[in-house]
Amino acid sequence: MKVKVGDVVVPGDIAEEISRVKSETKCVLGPGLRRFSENVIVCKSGIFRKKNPNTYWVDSHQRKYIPVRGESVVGVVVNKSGDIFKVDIGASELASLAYTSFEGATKKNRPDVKLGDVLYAKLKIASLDMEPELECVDSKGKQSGMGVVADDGFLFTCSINVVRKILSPKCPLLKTLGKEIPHEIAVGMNGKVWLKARSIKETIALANAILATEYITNEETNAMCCRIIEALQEVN
Amino acid sequence: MKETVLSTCEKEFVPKAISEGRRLDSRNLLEYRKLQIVYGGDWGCCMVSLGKTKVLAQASCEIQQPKSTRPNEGILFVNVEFSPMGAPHFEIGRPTDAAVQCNRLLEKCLKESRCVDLESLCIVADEKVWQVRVDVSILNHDGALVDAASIAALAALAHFRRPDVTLDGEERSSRARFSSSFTPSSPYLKNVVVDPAVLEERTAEAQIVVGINAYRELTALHLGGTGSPATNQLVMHCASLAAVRAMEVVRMMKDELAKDAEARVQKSPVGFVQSMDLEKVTTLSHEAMVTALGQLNMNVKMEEGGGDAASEGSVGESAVNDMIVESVGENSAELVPENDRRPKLDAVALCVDTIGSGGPSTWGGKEEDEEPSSEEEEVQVVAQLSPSSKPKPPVEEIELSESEEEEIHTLQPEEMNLDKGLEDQSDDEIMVSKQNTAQKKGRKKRKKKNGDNICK
Repeated sequence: MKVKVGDVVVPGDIAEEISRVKSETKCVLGPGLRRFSENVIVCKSGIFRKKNPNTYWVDSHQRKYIPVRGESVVGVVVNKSGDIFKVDIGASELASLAYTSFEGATKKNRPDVKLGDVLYAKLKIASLDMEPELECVDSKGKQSGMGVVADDGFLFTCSINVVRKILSPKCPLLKTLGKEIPHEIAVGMNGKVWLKARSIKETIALANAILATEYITNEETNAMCCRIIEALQEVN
Repeated sequence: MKETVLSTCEKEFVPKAISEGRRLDSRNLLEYRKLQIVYGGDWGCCMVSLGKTKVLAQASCEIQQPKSTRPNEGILFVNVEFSPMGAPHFEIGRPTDAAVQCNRLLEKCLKESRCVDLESLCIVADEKVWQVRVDVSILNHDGALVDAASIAALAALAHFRRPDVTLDGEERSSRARFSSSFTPSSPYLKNVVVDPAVLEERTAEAQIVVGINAYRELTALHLGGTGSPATNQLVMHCASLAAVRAMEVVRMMKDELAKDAEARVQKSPVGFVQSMDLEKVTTLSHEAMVTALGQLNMNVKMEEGGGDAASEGSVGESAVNDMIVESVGENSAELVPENDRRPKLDAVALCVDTIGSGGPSTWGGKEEDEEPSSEEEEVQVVAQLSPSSKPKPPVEEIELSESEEEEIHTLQPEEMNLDKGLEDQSDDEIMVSKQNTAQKKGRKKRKKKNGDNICK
């Protein structure tokens, strides 16, 4: 079936609109779309979205992470072998992370990474057939927020659309909560979120607020945030 | 696939939270998750969900030659299937230690509690007996597997009907008798936590599984883990917690069984489909939405922004205006027209949020407009343990043990009536093979034995 932007689509649908994009202009196909000879077909079920000028994707509910190059993820170090760490980022394969891809790391100056540590890192290589590779430095060789996160705090997993939702600039959740409840958070595009607030109670409340965002609108999110803040203050 | 590695922060966070008396899913330390028992369309089929843990049990039977050591007893066989559907690290054909442990514990528990009268499964002594087989499959693993599996297995057995066989081969269906029952619950040491979720289970120091039946008889006890050694006091504490829980669970199981039986008599549809609320968009939505905010005494009134809960493309906006949001469960709300308010299905006991649960499904046709079966019975075991709380008097107990000499006593008609009034799974032919006094004695004896075990 031919579909338009905003439609609910299922795999096999043909996104005709994209084929009509002029051949000399650049067109970006996001998740859920695949080129198939002349046409672009849908390969995930969800809502067909577009962002100007020519970016298309399918908004779907998903829990499984498929690595994409350049995305920031949160992972757990599960293995240390030789000069690479293996990191569980929730993908089908463990990602590898060379010990030199930390800020200021050299052969002699190894970074202090232990098993079970939580890392915030960027995907350097991600392709369908190879194991993903992570790095903890930006292009200038600086740390820029990446690396091992603090030992305390809490790590939890949510679905990938929740992560996209709370990271979108329109979502008021973290802004509103952050004003009243100071916290540190690392949100990976892989659906893993590391969170640390002042107390355990606040951390649990924040984690649950994030999980609850999945099925509610922005206005409701606002209302929920207000209530959480009120309730926490009451308890204090 | 290997089980995922826990990060250090999770390992530290969960025990810390528990030592503060908090749990990730807002429960109190001694609070159980919502238990749901649903009987399937077939006899002996039962699905139990305990929070997100889901377990399916099916009882079946076949005729076999008895074991030569017990020529006049049927055979009870329990098999717990750990498939990758339950959790990715379960593998078929290669059971983990935990899986073997669960299986054996369950088998021991069911056999020890003598919930199945094995002698009644005998057709021809030394030649033909029934082998009752309970297959338990783990559909989803979120902690407390032994607990869920035992409830499912027992409920399946209680629901099961063994075909009556006469020697000329005619078959007639009648319910097999299963009387007593048990349920393990697995509390933590030090800070005792009941009904742990998977993360709590994995970060626990140690685990105690207590099998206990509705008459407060201990049927199994398992201590696992590497934590500090359990004291007598702790074991007794756990056992008494379990006893309270066991009574609750058995009561609920019997209630559901009675409902199921009634539905079958009235020829109304039964089975798993009936237990699902097809009327809601978010019927299958993620359970994680039960937020911890309940503990913080929050009442989210959906009226404020309720209409927006309808997700895109599912509920027309026009219908929303004259609707009222009614909360029907822990994590669900329903949009109902203002002039057509349904009676509330169950009161929200906890003031847990009804955040974002979507409106009614408008996808299906109206002709499927059946009342959602009100099977969401909430078990809220507030573990208040008054030492004087007495167990319910055993209403029907069929115990046959070859080790103790007992005299067979046939009940007098008056006694029969008395018993019939009390018991709920009454059969046409009741044969209680034990005198009441003898029964009591037997129980005392067993208790003592258990006491010795604990002291060790």
